[in-house]
Amino acid sequence: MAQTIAASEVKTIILACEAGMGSSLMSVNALKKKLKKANVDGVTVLHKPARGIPADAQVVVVHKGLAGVVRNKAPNAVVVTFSHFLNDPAFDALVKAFTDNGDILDTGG
Amino acid sequence: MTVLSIERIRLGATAVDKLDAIRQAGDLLVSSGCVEAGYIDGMLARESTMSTYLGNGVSIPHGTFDNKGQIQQTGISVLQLPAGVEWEDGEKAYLVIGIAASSDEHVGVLSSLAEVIEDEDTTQLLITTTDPQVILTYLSAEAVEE
Repeated sequence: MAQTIAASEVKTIILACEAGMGSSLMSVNALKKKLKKANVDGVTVLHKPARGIPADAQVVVVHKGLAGVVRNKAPNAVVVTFSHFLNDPAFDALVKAFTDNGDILDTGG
Repeated sequence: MTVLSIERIRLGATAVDKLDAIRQAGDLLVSSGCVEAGYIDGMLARESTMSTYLGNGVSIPHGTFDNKGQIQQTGISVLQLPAGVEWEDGEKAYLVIGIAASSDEHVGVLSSLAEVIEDEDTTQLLITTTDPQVILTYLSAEAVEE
């Protein structure tokens, strides 16, 4: 499913976690920091458990190991996957979509 | 009770493999009254589905959503492995940070940890120090400069 969404339409990014105890919190911070550094404002990063993703979510950022759970919860969301919690190229690509006014691509497979 | 305390820090440890390291980090949480022993199984299970390796020689094993009931109090343990242990293909962990969180009290410590990992010299210091106070100083919630 090759879904995309224009970054300009996105107001909220959901970062999905499993237990919300550790690794995903690191990713929330890392992503917020990168957005701030690139002077991207007007987009909010929310931290939510993968099992509780709202069906109308626009963009969900999630570790590749949890992508399937997110896909089931929000079939129409653009799912962006990452492998490294702190410094993943996926975060940079996401920030770039905002700074370049580009599209956010689904990488959830 | 503080999230990170001296009794939950073990320096100069050795581990035969990743699972051993996770058990040791988990034992520090058990012995200091943060979790029930069964929580360690959750830490091992979580690691088998998704690695908690963060980069720069640091990993943060913790349980899953299903283990939250086994947490008695939010706490963080630090296992220092100066010789490291292989965590992922070609990546060794030297600092294994065990996490048990039933609330958000530990978020400050994680923010401090994120700062430490970004700086290789500081990470190296924490991997080699023989003074637990150094770990406490760098990882305390107040260490983050905004």
